[in-house]
Amino acid sequence: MYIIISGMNNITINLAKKLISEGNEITFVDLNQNKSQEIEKTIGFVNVLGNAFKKSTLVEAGIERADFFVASNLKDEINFLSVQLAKHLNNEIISITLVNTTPNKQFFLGDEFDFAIEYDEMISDTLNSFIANKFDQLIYTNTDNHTEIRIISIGRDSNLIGKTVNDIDLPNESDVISIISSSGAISHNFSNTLNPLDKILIQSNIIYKNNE
Amino acid sequence: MKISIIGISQIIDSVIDKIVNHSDDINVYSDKRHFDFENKYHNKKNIEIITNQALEDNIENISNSSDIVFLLSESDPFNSFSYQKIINQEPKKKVLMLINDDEIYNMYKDKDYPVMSKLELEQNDLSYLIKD
Repeated sequence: MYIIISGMNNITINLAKKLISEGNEITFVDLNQNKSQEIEKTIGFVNVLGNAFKKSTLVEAGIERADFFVASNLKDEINFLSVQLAKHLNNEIISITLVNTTPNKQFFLGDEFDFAIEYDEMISDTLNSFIANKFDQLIYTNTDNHTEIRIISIGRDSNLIGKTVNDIDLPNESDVISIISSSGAISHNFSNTLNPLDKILIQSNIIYKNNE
Repeated sequence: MKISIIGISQIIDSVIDKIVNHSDDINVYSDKRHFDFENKYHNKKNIEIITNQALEDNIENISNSSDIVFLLSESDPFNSFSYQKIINQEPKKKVLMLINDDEIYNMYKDKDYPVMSKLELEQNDLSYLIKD
């Protein structure tokens, strides 16, 4: 998955290390040039210097192909606006927003704010669990026959646990290719019940966005 | 009619010119002193300039005591977040916010937010707000 993180701090740097080790791609957006250079030397991921509430910065960071946007600046107003803009530029992105001041949490309830968490919840494990439980991930698009391959991940708390693939609502005209267990075993027996961390590999018709 | 202006930016003189004859009471709030601005308006009886370092914590209170609120700071994040604070509390409050960034301006226009650019504010007489 591709994750853009706005705001460099110890928590997001640890999160980035963990996500990179799990095979994810990370880009930081931050104004602090010194910190960016220092981190890039040690970890090697890409940083984009700029304001997270500017289109040019988010586009440079690749917002249009990102799966997640983590807004973790220390000013709520910046997180608020940057998430709104990120969602405006990519309405499929999932946002995780840091709320620095508890009374402000009431302002982060709109459709743009998928997860709004307070500072003491903003630990690497919490953020990682949001990302690890992402339900649906596009991995390949075939524009010739208008189909795509997607992975549906079963989170630790998913309500799909205990059901079979025949019991769940998949996107229209989907074909299940296989079920991959957390150990990596591939199964084509679709009557088996789903377990936490299973992944369902499906092929489905492309669902085009309104502006495409 | 009581009007509050939150934030002092280049556009503020133009806005005050348009509303000063329609309001008995205009309060201008800023988080720091602007001496040129204060000198310019110190003789105007219906304009009061209030410096409040904790401005962001008092947006709802300012809105509560106002008929119309103009959000005119130079900071788009501040204006947009302040707008959200006001609307959360009073969904029908008359608010107009200045947005400088073109992309954010267009995003809010698409959502029918009461947003204006500097150019629009200069050209608009604001009568739809203050004479209603």
